[in-house]
Amino acid sequence: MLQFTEISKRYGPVTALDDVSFRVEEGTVTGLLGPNGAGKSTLMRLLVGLDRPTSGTATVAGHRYRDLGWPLRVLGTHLGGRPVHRRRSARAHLRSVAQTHGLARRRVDEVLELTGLAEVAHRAAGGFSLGMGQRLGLAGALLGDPAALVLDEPVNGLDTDGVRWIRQLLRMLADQGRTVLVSSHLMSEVQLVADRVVVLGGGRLLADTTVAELASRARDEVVLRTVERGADDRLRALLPEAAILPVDDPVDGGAWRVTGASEREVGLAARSADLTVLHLARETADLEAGYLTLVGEQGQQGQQVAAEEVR
Amino acid sequence: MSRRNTAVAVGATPAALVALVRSEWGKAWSVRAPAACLAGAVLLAAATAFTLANDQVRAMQTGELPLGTPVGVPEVLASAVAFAQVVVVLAALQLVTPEYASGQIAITFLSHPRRWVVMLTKTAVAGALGALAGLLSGPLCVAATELVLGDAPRVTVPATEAAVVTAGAFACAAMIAVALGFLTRSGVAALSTAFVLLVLTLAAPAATGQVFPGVAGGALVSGTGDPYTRGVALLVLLAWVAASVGAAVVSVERRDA
Repeated sequence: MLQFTEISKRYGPVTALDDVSFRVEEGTVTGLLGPNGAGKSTLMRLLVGLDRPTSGTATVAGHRYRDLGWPLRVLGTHLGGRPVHRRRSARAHLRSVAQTHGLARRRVDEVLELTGLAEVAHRAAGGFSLGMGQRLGLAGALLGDPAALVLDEPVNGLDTDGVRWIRQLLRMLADQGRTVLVSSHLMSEVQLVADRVVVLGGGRLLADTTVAELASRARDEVVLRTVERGADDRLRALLPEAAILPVDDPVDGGAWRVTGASEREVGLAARSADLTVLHLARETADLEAGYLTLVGEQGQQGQQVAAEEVR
Repeated sequence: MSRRNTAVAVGATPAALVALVRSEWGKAWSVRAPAACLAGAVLLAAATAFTLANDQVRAMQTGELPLGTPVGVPEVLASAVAFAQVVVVLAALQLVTPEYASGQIAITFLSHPRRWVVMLTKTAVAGALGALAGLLSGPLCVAATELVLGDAPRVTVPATEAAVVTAGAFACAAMIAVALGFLTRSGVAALSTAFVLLVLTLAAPAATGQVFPGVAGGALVSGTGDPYTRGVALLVLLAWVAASVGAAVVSVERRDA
């Protein structure tokens, strides 16, 4: 449905995107992840023709966005912020957008209702909070009842109810067969709602995979808390393959995070070392851990390449 | 909400263009600023005509001008239009530069991704708004001037003719303003440039000034043949509209939004 093929974007000497290719399938929610400056927003702007690619193509349903006859009926887009005339009311703003596609006024009322803005639709958008602005942006994206949605950080500024509402909305849209590409810094939200994740770093594609697969890249950890100090040396002697790092715990200095050993192995080692165990539990790797592992690995590789280039 | 749209329509259609025009026209009236500026332009033109005519009458009363000197209503109208068109420019810029300032231009381009069509549509809407203000301003200026002159001798101009030429001058100024708005993406920069092109050039030496739209607008409105006929004036104005709009289309299509 959404296809990026060898797409690159350079701003003078800065490479924002470098030869990125991936596809977003119908009926899925795909999370677009990456640190600040990774190229997530640029990628979205290239898809909808707001920026021109230096090379490569981005298509929606097999067509360039600018070639679509009624684009908002195919792809709804919210690129964050509050891109509305400050003195125009929310309803007037949406009506002007609806008019470009011959959509009925009733449709404007529907999306206002859906996004919880019906009560404030008469107010000038300039007075909206960040969260209300996000809802207005989403209302605009949903206006054409599109087959696909591209949303850049849609939960920014939303309260807890708003975040949950977005999560449910995105899931519902995907279940209806729509394609959703959503960027977010909130890994927990992406993990809850996304089927797949695309990770960008330094303008390059680092991963295009399922949430579960990315999460599995981080190894499970075992957290051990004891009353003894210096327990790590005793554990290391018994678990030479494991990595043992102190937990940043201001209350109890005797807490350790162990990777490379199972919960059972750590427990048996603790007993052999005659440690008094206060707490022993396995922490399952999640999307955030997998993402950090991936980005960390890429960062180390980048540093190694840079060091070799210097030599 | 159900999933309704499955077929993908490709390519521009006349219906999409009509829808875009309706949207842009509606946007122009959905905030107060453009309408307020247009009303301001009409009132400013009338007030300026009233003041200039009054100055002429006073000059005759004080002996500065010989009694019985005929007052040229076309010249009064041209001066009033030259002054008021700056406010028309301001109204036209309301269609463009606030969209760049707020980021709404992205929504506009997402709704209709052929940017040059958006640009030409906004130009046409601004031209229509300018013409509307001109149709009101021209006769109002003539009426205000006639009111002041009373029985004083004058070279007059029919109200209908005043309406048409003022509409033409305001429409051209508005269209140039929209092009400048797209070129500069800044209200201050566009207004400053328009002020230079439309007003400051009136003070330039005749040989230089006559190629600019300010002088051409004056010649179109006054119809006195100074420095050229209305036909030539219209051609000069349209050349400026075409050049500025053409430059804006190229710029808007080439750069990132």
